[in-house]
Amino acid sequence: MINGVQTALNSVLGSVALLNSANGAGRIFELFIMTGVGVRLQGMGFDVWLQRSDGTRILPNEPTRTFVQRGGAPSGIPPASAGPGNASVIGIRKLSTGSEWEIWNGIQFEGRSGAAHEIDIAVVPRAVGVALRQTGGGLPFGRPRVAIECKDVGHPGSVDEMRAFVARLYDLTVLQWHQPHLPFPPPAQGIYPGMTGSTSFYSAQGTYWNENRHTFNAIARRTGFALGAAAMSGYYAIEPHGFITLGSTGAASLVDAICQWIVSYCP
Amino acid sequence: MATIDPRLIPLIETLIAVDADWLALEILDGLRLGIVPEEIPEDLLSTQFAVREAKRQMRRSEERAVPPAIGKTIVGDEQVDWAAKYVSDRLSDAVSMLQASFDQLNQIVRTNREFHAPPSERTLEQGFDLTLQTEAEGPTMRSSEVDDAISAIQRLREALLSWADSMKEGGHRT
Repeated sequence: MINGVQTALNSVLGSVALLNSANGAGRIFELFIMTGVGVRLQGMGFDVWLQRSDGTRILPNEPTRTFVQRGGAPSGIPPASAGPGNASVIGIRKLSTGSEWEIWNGIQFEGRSGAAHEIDIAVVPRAVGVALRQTGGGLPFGRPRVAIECKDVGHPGSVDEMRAFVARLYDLTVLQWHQPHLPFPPPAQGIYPGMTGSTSFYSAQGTYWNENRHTFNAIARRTGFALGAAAMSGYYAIEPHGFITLGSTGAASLVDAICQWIVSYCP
Repeated sequence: MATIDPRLIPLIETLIAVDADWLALEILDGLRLGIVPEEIPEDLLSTQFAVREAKRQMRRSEERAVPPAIGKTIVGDEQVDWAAKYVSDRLSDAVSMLQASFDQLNQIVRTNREFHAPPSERTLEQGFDLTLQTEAEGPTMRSSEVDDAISAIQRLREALLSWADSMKEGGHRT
């Protein structure tokens, strides 16, 4: 009997090489959510494109259309000079305003402490990506406007998982009164580099309460949350989204929430 | 702390043999934790709405977050059934989400607004290549390979059901 299981397992895993690595399923989960957001925004009238790591678009008439998903150790944004073979991103443009954004996967952000924090799915102004690619690459400083922590694990999320995400966002938060201690000239921005601070949306907020609500933050889980895990999430403005699988109401709810926030708040 | 039923050992060994150690570890971890009491969907939904409306919810962390919820131990035949279902559901979810991701990537690139060539010049029928980059070079996948995996999932599900039934009928128990 177990031989039949082994044969079937070989068929599945032989076809999907990604599942032979420990984090392969997790990467698939993240790709599913970020591409779902891209398609949903496309349906809402946004211009959405796939973009190579050198900043060029992947066009439908190209003979080789490869979307590269980062799978190794987390890192920052590679420089454009490193070529197109590093991790791809999804670009979006709000047609009504012309503002452009990038959806990143597995990129590290630098916090005020100097520590690097990986955000599984992040939405940032495209100007941040452009500036990093043109200036030798590196880690963005500050907090993405959308931050999604993805958990493709079998057990329900614990309160410690939520605490860890709260702590990560706390370190990434740049407030106005941090300005004297920042390695950037005023005015204080929520994220660096690349923005001028001329648009109020990008300006640093005055309190954590406000910055938590000036961004969209969520923990997205394939399974649920252990009792008590969501208790602190309301205060810190982290939406708990569970039971995210193909076709589930949880998946639709998460993608809708992200896209509605982008439509409503991104300039 | 759950005791691992020896009847699971062939499944664990098989997962290791096919380079799915991560799945074997997830099974052991799931059995260690047991069935944990979860937040009900209504509470998750109300928290989502509270965040969006910037409402201050009633404090409930002290009474609910401490101590951590204790899981209900999975034992005996339930453990065999749980492990078999876990493997098939886990791989089925991953493969179906990968297939959906390919479809979504294709949809995004197909409707690129900056591309104005007539449909005849497009090579959409070629599908999309996905590379998962690990270090410098990673495995490259095509959507057709995912189709093969989708068809193999049903065979896996049936094989696991047969294996679980055989374990419960004639396998050794602790």
